[in-house]
Amino acid sequence: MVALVSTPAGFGQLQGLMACVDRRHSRGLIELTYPQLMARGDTPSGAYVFADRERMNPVQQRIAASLWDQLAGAADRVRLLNHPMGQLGRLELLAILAKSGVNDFRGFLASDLPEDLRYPVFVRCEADHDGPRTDLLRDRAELGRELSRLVLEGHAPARLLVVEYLDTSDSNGVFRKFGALRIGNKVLAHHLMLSKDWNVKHDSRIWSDDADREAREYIAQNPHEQDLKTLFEVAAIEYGRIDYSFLDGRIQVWEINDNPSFASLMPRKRPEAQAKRVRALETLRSLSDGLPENGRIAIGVDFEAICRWLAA
Amino acid sequence: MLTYLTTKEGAGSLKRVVQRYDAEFGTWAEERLYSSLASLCQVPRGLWVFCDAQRMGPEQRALASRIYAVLKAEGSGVRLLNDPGKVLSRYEQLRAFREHGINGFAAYRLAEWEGRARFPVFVRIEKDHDGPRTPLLHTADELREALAFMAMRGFEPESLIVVEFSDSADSSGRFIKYGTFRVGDRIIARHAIPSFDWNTKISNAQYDAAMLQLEQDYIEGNPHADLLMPIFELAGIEYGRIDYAYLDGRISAWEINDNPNWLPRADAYPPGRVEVHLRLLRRCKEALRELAQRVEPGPPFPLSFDPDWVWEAMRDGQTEAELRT
Repeated sequence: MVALVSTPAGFGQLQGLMACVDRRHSRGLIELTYPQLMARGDTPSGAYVFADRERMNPVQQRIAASLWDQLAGAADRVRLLNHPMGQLGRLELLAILAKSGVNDFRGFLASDLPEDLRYPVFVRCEADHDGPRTDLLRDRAELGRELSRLVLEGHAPARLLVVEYLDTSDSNGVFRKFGALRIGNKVLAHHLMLSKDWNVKHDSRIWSDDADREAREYIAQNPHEQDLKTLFEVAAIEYGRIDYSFLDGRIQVWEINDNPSFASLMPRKRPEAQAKRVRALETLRSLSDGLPENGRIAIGVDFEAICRWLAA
Repeated sequence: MLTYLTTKEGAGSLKRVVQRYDAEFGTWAEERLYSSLASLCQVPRGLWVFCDAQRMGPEQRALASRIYAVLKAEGSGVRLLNDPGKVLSRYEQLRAFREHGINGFAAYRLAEWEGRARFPVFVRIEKDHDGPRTPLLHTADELREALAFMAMRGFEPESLIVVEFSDSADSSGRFIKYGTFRVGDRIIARHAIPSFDWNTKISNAQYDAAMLQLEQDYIEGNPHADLLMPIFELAGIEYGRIDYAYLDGRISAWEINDNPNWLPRADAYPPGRVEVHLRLLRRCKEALRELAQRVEPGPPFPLSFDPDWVWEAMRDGQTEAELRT
């Protein structure tokens, strides 16, 4: 059995993928929420992917870590991925990648901007994967106005990131955004989207034979596998999707999503899309290879400890 | 002109009234999101109602306070209701009502309830108006378990409050939830909802002939107005609705909502009752119109949104949050 564990807010990514394929490809896979795992009392042996660290507040992370520790006690019967306290958050990852010279751009909390912030910038939320919340903002006045709008919309400044824009377009003004999955020890090229818009999204992608061919070649050749594995290691993320581009031949990492929605990025009926889904599910299923099929592991919840964390 | 400001979560309370019941109201009243002000160059004179301070985070509230101050500086061109900097949060309301001897029950943040809370209790969210999120919890263990699961479902710890249950049922086990609006200096009785469920809502209301009469008498007689105005004042709310119980001559205030729903859909009421409740709409509307008409007429005036406000709001909001904690 392989379980993808997510927050209630992030629930549904695996189910969305499984709904697209024949049931035999998803045998042995389940998706459940952390509260459901907490309430189980005991749970089967198998592989557990702890997703959604980004969406969790610190107390949720501690609770998830306590569940991890209990499962880890049954070492020979479980495989665990994505320690909820060990992974780097989006901001921490951007900071490390900029400092180490991997990325040529930086990201900061809206409440903690440096004097030498390089405009243009855009704003995004730290805790979701919905991309930029603003257009490109060319100076402090535009940034202030847009931050005001977002704060008045209810976004907490402590969760708003200001990110320096980096132009990765080619000489024809085309932007390329690559996406690759890490599932355990494997890195799978997942998609390549081309767009005339700097904010490359499914909706704005270029649909052409050339773009299609380029994407197919990327997926078949998986050319950046080794570099990406290293980057996933830096982030301590064993299950997730990295989104990146290239500038002057060097990878620029936008984010690593630890609970990616990979079904929606693929046109439903195309055979190669179906093959990608099956490949992702089979790779996920392989996480439990070598683990015993029977046996259960007790899960206890220390409500007093959680209430102490809540009160702190 | 009335400008009715709400957050995204609280949007729709005025719009629904206009759409369902009173198109004329929409000719001089406009509901607007606070966030829309960031892109406006000028704003109308008239009455401004600042709703939803209770739903706001500290920085959001600090920014809304800044807008309030800028509008206030316009003097006789505007009239403002609900200073976001003075509106008490749900927790602060309940603490204040307890400290002033209004309520016999207490509310606690998560660091406060151990060893102090009198059971049974329930848990609610500070920043919404959706009522209790748990059944009545009779022991500390039940409460801890409920809190742990709520935390893991993603509720922010600082938004959870533990509230002591106060039994306001009469001898037949019936609870009556009274609701009354304040609009400026007017108190307008809204409803008296009877139910045999302690978590009284219109959806579990049980009206009989006596209760229908009681509600009608309440709406027409407005019997608690003098008792309620000081409670609104204490909460810093000039526009809103108080929900409360009244037993043995004493008020127990559950909450004052600074962005209340006026009227639900007509089919939510017992047959023939809509007309009674439409009186509320007319009374609130007239109270708002009267306030709006007191404002000196004139053209729109500029609202220049200073980009630095947001960073000042972050600083002020954090300080305020620390003080409130």
